[in-house]
Amino acid sequence: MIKCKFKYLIGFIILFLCVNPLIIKANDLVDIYFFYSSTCPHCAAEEVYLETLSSENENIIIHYYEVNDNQENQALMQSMAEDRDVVVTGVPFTIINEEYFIGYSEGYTDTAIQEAINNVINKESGSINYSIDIPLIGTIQTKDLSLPIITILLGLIDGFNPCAMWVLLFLLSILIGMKDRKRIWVFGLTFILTSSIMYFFLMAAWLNLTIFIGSISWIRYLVAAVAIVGGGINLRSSLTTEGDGCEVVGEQQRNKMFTRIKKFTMEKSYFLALGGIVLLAISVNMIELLCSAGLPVIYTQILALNDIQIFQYYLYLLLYIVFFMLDDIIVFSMALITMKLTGISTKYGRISHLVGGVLMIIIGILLVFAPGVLMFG
Amino acid sequence: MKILKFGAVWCSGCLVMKPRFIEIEKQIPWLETVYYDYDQDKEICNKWQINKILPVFIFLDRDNNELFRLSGEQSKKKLISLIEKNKDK
Repeated sequence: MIKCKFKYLIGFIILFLCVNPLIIKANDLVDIYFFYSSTCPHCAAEEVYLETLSSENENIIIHYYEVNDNQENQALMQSMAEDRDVVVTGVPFTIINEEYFIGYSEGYTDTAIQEAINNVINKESGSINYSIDIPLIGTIQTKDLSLPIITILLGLIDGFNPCAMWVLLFLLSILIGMKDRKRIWVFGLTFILTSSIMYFFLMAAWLNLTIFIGSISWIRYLVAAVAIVGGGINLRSSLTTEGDGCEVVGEQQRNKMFTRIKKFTMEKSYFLALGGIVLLAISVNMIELLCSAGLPVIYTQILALNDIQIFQYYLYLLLYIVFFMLDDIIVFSMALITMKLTGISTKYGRISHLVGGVLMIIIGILLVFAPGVLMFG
Repeated sequence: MKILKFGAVWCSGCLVMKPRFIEIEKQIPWLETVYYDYDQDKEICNKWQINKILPVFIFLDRDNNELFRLSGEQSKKKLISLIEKNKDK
């Protein structure tokens, strides 16, 4: 049995190693973070200089942040400054990798900026940006792929636990027993949608908190510790659990939940029943998130590390939720089509624990030693 | 020989085993199996000490003595081989 479990682990490592050689070259992109005020003449002078640089070299990317009228940009500036242990005394404030410049003076700052750019190019220590050459398709920038892939992967791993969908299975079993397809549609969909919305809001709240306190570096170390410990627990459980099955735990809680589900589904008033299903989904997800907060916390930390638009944060959360709910959606769809309950093999849950464990440990280590690798966007 | 099957509607692995056993029972018509639900047949579950993992399959001899038991999902091939091996017991 242990031999069989190691087969998956070895498979995962081989897959990782196979993908790695595809990463063939660094593009030496240089990200310049330029914090300025629209009323400051030195900023205007530096802007002209930076624009000249970027027009001469397409690998130089300038991120403009107006800080006079924009509180978000101000917060970002403070956060980036704190990361570099510097107190910003005025603008323009320019960051190139680990180097920073306050103010602008022709003949001095421009030379220093050029040197900082050269350092990034020479040491290849700027933002990680690789390209993959795929036959027939062409060159793809990994930074464009990595965040969606990690979102899908973590969403799947977080959600893929067939034994954890016991509430949905019990609900569907009662609805199927009633032989009422309409009720399965309405109640099942309500349960899945409410669960998704609930999880989305909880993750969005956590993301905002992470962004808000993102400048405090020990938070990153704390999340790294959560990732390493959680990964270890997942790995241990996938390698030591004997057989594929569902553990019989929390009998009292389960019986209480079943009584509530029966009560709601038998309710004659459609709206009261719907309200009950909504409450049920909310309470179930509150418990579930408390039990498995590790992955959402790790994922939101990765998301917060990436410099993307606000709407993109929420789109990524949405993508995460879709894959988090995928096993529930499959079981629900099968129930609708066949009017029978279909289970998902628990061996996939074990594989998900195994892959998730390895991934969480890797992410934990990266968060401590090389957070730049997780900055995809 | 007889097999007691223990499962529950909320147990995904038990649901996976259901169609697998239907196929086995079709293939081996003489095989006697009885299904017990963990939540509805509490007394029998307690009697057979079903309290850790579901599904559970208990193989009984002709005098209803336990030969052995399997916990968790099992492959059709393994089950058929065990049934064939113990069919005269």
